[in-house]
Amino acid sequence: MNTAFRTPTAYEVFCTTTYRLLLDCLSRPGTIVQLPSVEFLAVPTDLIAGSTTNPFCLAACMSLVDQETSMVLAAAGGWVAEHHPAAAWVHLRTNARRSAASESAFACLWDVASLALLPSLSHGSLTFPERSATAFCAVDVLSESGTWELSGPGIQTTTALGISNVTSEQMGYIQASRSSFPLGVDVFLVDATGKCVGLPRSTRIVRSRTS
Amino acid sequence: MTEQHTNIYNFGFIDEDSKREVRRQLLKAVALPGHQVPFASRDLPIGRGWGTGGLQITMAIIAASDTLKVIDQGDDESVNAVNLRRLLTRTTGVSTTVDTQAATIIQTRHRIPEEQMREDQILVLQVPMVDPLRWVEPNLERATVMHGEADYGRMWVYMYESVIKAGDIRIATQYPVIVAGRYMMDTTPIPRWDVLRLHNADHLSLFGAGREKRVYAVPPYTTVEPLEFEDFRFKTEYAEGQRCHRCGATNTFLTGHFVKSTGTDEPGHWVTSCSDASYCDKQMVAQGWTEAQE
Ligand SMILES: [Zn+2]
Repeated sequence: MNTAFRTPTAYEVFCTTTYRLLLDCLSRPGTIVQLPSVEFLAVPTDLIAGSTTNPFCLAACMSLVDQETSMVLAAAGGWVAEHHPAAAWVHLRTNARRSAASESAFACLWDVASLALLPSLSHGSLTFPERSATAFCAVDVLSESGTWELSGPGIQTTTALGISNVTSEQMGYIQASRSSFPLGVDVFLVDATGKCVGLPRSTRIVRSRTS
Repeated sequence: MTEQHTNIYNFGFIDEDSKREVRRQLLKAVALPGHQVPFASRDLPIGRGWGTGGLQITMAIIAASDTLKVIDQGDDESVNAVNLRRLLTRTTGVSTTVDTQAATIIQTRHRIPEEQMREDQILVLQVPMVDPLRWVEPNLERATVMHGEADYGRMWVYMYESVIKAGDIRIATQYPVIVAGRYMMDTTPIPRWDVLRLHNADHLSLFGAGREKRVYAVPPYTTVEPLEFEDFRFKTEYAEGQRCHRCGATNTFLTGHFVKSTGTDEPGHWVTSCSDASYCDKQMVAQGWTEAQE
């Protein structure tokens, strides 16, 4: 068979590999996938002063973004200003549009404290529930056992999810983001080693009775 | 062919921005099972109605490591399947297979393979007509509002009237279903035999309509319930005692072929065999058949 295509760039391969993992873990909420190495992106760890950047989380969010979409950043519970060097760094590599958080298609949250901002993201409308935001949030450690019990499409019965160093109040913001399905925000959690879990708005999250 | 000409296409044919657009909308489709999500459809060197929606999904998700299977009406060798497979392999270099078990992505028109798909496999379905409400509301914008409000009363009435008139539910293919207890979805022209095989499946199903520029999805382990009534239950095409005349399978979806008369003793007649041709071959091989025998 004659082939006629140019070899994809490292970034294109990264985006495709990452996408399949994101699609897989969003289709099977609670299933943890390992995101690929992002060393080639050389993400500075100090993009936002006082907050540690999770390069896996940022790169996964960036892989879905281009000039057709907008992306906002948040750290320590507050939105990062448009002219902040971190926003400029992302813009230079994605051409992401800048917009108000309430109109942004993607949000990258540097820490669980920023989950408090979820209510201000777009949740879509009944006619257009897809006009809603997707949030990527950096967490410390994810595990397939622990405090939270997930159910809904993509899950056979129920499945357990452990998230270290997250408070009930912070989880409450994720739970609230799916309280009026089909409206809502879809969430990916990414830990420090690049483990990722998808929590589409169709996933119900409750505190496990056994924990 | 010069070097210049051998590298003319992007990997997967469509450009990276087009892929990202399809990718983003597919994530929304997965998060909203059964809901039709609009996407910016691109023009492809294949006529609309020949699978450009499904094709764009495959192009957006395919990686060099994938093994691809393409079928049309269950057949890997039909002209449409061959053309789509050629375009995809020419622009990706991925390996292909006819074996359902060996594929990572299966692109299909009008069938779900007979062999049960696994968790690590993705089924991409080509959709000609996207909205099940078109029977009662031809205006797509008004139908979108009806979906938003789960306003399905008229569709239930339409189905029931159809039952009363015909004594059976007449919709033979593209049977409407309710996904995850919320959205009404068109199942595409798969037989009713396949409709139940979307219910709580192990695999992810992605649907693409090129002409109407929509994608939708059924995640794994998601309920898919055909519209039915207490007194008129949903029925598949299965007939008691049915049997494939080639491999002898009694639990597959069959299609009919006319066999021409071979002489004065044997008149022309109809036979039925598995619509999933590679499955049928696989059963034949298991029974000691070789291709030269046929
Ligand atoms: Zn057969």
